[in-house]
Amino acid sequence: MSWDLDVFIERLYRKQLLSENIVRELCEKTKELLVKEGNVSQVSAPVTLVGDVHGQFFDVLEIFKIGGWAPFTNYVFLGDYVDRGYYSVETITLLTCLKLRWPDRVTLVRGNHESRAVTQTYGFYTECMRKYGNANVWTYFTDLFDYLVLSVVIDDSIFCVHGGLSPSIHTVDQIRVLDRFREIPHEGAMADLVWSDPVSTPTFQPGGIGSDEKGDFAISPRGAGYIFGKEVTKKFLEVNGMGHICRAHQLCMEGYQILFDDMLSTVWSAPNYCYRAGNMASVLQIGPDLQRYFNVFGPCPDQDRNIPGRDRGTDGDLTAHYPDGNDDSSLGVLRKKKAPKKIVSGSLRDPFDVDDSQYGGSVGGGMTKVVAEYFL
Amino acid sequence: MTNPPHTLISNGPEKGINLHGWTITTCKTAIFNCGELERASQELAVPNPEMLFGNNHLTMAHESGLKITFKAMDALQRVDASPNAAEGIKVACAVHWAKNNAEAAEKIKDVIKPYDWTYTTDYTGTVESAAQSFQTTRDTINIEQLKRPDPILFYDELVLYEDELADNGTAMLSLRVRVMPTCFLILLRFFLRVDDVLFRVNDTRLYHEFGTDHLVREYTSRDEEYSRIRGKLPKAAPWDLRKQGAEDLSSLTDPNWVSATMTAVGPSAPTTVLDSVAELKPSLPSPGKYLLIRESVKVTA
Ligand SMILES: [Mn+2]
Repeated sequence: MSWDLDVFIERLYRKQLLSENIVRELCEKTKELLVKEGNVSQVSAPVTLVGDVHGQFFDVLEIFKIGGWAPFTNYVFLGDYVDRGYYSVETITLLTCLKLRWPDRVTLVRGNHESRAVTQTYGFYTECMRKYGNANVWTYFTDLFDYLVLSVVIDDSIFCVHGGLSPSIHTVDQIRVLDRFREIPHEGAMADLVWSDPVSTPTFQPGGIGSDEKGDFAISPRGAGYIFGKEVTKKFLEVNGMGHICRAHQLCMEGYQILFDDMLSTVWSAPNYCYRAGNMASVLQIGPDLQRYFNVFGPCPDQDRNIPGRDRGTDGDLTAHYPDGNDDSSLGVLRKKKAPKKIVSGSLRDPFDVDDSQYGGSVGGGMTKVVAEYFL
Repeated sequence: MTNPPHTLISNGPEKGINLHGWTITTCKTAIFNCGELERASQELAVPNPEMLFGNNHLTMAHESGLKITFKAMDALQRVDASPNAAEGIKVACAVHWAKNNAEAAEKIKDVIKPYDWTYTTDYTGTVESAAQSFQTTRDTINIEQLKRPDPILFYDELVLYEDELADNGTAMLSLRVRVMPTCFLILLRFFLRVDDVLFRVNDTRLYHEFGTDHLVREYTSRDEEYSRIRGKLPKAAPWDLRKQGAEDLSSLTDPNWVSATMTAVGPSAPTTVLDSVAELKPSLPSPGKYLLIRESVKVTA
């Protein structure tokens, strides 16, 4: 196929995958583009900010319907494009095409899921294997992830990042000098930017150094990672002469959350997260005068969503690559009632050692499911 | 076999079944909203988990007056919020992290108030009817009965709470119920994965055979090392591993696969002494922590 991004984008809008070779080429070209971008992208309003989408491709299409199609709307995506949802490949392929086609109208920030380590556990790796029969596409994309920018500043006023602030970052200039072309490390500024969380009503351990109730940085009880409060946010904004921080990374029922007297907001763009949370989603539309408007939306209607397997697209001969002849219907969105006999025979080795992994639907994350009903 | 007389219930988010004097209902709704979370945080000693399905519940009631519910808030009340709670388990990179963040950490001595951030609970349901209580028993769950491919008159599954532990793993409390013509089974499962550290599965099973006079409740708790379970992943074909030795770890996010992979604890466990409370550790071959508690409550018409 000849190289035509517009054709690729159209195919993706029709939920068709691109071939492995095109994806390789796409990632190579996008890397060449991103390597020239700084760690902090400068963007002008009006612009629409999108939070975590996590492979919920049909909801991504809904975002374009609500917020306008690229390039007519200027977009900043705040990361976590892959994992958990069933269409990480379609999602990241589309966003990468859009970035390459209109580099000045589309900005892709790195989230903590844009990482080799995380995607191996949370679904993107598995999905690539299922849809392409090998890990090449996963390798191309995870290599590309190392080039994504870390943050965005809108008109010198709004700081955008996936997770939050870092105790080792006081000025935006300190982000500019980080070496970002690497896997997300376990610790340090780059990790903090994609991992940390603001906490509105922290319950700090008394007796520590620092200003407890005011909302300084604190170490998570997990033993790694930071949470930060209002004081830190205020100070960061003052030092950098900015007015607001916008970040993603945290689920909220309403689709957005405003904290610290409007100094910080969370935008969340995956409605009915993991196909079970029942939450709303939003995009944050920032007007020419930097006024902020959360455009809230729910999950797209079921008839548009398409259960995996019903609409896999027709690109290439993907079905032939399915390793075990399974089609996507085994991804487990819906449990199909099948004759119970099949389940009960064979798999019941031991009452509590039963292979009850045949279990999809709303609980559990496994990929090869038959029937959940006969659990033990 | 002919199905016994029963009626199905469908009332908005509530579904359920009536049969043999039992009413079993489930309620499935969205996660708590902002206001509900605010109220929850005042009731709980631990921070709210990321997904708190506080309006979800499973309720079982018998005409004798016995009533048991399963609710997220009651389960979360049992999460350890004592000062030493967070000492038990740290994420895998914690040691590394503490060392490398020494400079920054010099100024940051605040650790958020400790609590069991794994959200581990030993919740076995809430007995709402004061008159009844569970007693230790030698009654068991009839596995043979449950293995039969009998028709399922009612099935449902729901989540009570879930937290991704800031992507260091998963903690999830979920419920499943199935009602057959001769018996029913409810499974409440707490599933914990801390990446590169451990797995934990706390299961509560409630089982009743229609026509008998008791309801069996069996609680099992199992801890096993992450590496042992990871070692049991199906091996990928060599040609799948050509790139960077990547491995498909997604089965580790599946509570059912993990549970089935862990050492079995239950009627078939390699121990002949199954008192009501059994510390099963010594007789089991694999390293880990295991606990079994078996109780029952009288159900009289
Ligand atoms: Mn995230």
